[in-house]
Amino acid sequence: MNVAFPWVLWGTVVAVAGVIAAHLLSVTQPHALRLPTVRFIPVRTIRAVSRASAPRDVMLLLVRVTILTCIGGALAGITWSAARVPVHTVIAVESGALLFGDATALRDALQRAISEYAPVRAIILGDTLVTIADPSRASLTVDSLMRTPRVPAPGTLAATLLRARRAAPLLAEGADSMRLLLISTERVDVTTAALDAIRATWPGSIVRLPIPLQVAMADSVSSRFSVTVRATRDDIVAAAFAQKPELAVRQVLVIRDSMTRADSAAAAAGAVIVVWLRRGVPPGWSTIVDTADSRERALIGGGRVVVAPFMRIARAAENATALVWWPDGSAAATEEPLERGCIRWVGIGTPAGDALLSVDARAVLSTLTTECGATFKLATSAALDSAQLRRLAGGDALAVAAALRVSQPNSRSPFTRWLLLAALLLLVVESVLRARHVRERGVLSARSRRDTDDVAAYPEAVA
Amino acid sequence: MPTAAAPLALGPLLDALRGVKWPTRERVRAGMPGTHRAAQRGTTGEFTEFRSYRQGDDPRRIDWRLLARSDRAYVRITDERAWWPTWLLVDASASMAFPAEGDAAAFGRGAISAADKWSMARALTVGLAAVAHATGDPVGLWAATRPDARRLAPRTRRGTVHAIAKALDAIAPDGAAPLAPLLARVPQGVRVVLLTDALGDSDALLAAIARAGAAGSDVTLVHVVHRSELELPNGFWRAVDPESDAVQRPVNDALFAEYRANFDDWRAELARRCLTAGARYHEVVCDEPVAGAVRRITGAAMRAGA
Repeated sequence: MNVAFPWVLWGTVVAVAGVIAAHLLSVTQPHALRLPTVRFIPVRTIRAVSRASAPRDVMLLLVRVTILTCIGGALAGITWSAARVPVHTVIAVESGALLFGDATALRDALQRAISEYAPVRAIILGDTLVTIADPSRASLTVDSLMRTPRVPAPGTLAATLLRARRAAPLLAEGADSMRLLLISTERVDVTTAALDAIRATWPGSIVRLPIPLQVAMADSVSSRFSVTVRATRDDIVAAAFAQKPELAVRQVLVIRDSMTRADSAAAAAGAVIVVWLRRGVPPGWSTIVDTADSRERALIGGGRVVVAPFMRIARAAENATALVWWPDGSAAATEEPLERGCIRWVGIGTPAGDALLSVDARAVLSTLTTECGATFKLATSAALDSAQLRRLAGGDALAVAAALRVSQPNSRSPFTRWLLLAALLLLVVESVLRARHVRERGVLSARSRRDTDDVAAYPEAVA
Repeated sequence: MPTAAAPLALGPLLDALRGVKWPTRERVRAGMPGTHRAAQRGTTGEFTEFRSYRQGDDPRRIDWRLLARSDRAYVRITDERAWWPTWLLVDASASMAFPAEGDAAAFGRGAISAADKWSMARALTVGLAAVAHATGDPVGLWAATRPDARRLAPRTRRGTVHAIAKALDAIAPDGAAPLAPLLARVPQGVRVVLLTDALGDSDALLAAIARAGAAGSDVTLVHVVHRSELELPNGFWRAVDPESDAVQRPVNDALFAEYRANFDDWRAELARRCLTAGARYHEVVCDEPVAGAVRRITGAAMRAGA
């Protein structure tokens, strides 16, 4: 039996005890004797309290106790569960592990977690929740997940934890506590200041399963490229790329007018060609009409977010490799490999103002100037230090299911309406029993009121 | 549904009342020959005096021997003797069934040993009927029962007393049938005895008594009171009016004195109003011997003492 509001149940117990006490300690009705000269008895209110060892009016008491129990049970949200398991397990795969972790190691880690920490109710991939209906077949779910092509998208460890936390109340149904397994690489995708705060919302320990990286990280790789912008002098894009340091070993060419054969040849030779046209759309992209939907307020890339008004001018192909994303996850810039180099197409309208000159914008633009094929490497990735890892793991205690309910639980259990209906019917029965009880034994106060009228009818009865 | 009480034991009661007379205080109206002195003088019966003959007297009443001796015409004057119909009106309301069968033990030893009010009223009725019948008077019964009053016309024949006793045995006190309407229907100039606790229509009853007295009837109110009405049982209990469950009052020892004062005052006032209305008032407590009460009512005890 589960109780949504235990304090209501305790209150019901107290009320029932009070009713029983009232049936044990009450104003008693004296025994009745027929006296023809009753009119000569002075009108007085007399009360006598007596204690009985057994409750009086047992039937009325039972009905009242049942009414209170029904109402209390309905308000307390009592639900019945046929079977409960002590622990439910949720596996959360951090975005970095999903993108850069070793796929075999990730599969092994998932299978090991499923076998060791059964039953597994859900797997969270980045910020995607996959609920497992049949925990005994969770391994099959893993196989299916690993075969599903993943669209690389930016994510944070905090977002993964937040997704797990939000799903926890639902996933904890039928369990006493909940275990959270976190599969991550040595380096997480992005650490933010919110990580600690979000971690604090998980009321238990987190078991971290580290997996190795599949690809090498590319810290500061982009800084070894020289960037050339072919554009007019008053171009804001050119100004933005001009802030890149000139420590070039390889060439990056940002094209603002139109792409030529020489540019393609340079790309084939190993250069990074960034095509950000002042007018028109990249080849293969579909034009977007300037509507309210085409106006975006942010741009995401390189682990940073630039909050500024941007115009979406074209939509990339579905299978294109994205470098920069709009807030809805669609590609704002893509990469197309070409022999030793690559061509990067940008579908962002030229922004007004100095939005591209900010620090965040520089980080986003640096994604466009990184080495070809290394676009998924995290320029801002960072390894968690030991203190962060300790805070992330927390203590040894698992999260209690009751503590995972972030909001008021749904008090409308399936029994609520029936319990309230039963209480209503019993109230009718109680009123009938009470009326009969009053008729049989009478009530002192009512009697006194009648006696007043009676004395008025027999004035000689009053001394 | 109330049940009739056990039949009265007539034998001891009638034996105890043998020889008791119930004379009138004044001359009765002329009627069938009986034992009571009639207001009308006649020539038959017991000689009283001689009176000079006056024109118009019946010549057959002239004492011819006295005329021969004194040469004067005298007529013989005698007292007429007439019977006096006696009506016994009995209150058979629910209040007369006191104490109730289940309540007698609660009212104490006195309530168990003494007769209940209805039994006392029955015994008094039969006793008075026997005395009146022995005097030669026709005796009738009118019991205020619901829904219809039980009536036995006045008779002098043998078996009348037993018929009255049998009729009373068949009555179970119930409801609140008033006595006053019955008293209003009783013929004038008769003896009427009301046996009641007077707890019902006392005002109407007193008014009817006054009217009957003015019409020449001799009315006696026998007020039947039970000892348990005078001395309430101890403890905390609830008094319920037998004639109306709506009238209930809690009782404890602290209220006894005030109750008794109220009851005494009411009884005294009732007696005073009876006397004022020209009726006689006798209070009979149920633990009093029936024969003694009958003698007291009929005046036999007073005559014997005198």
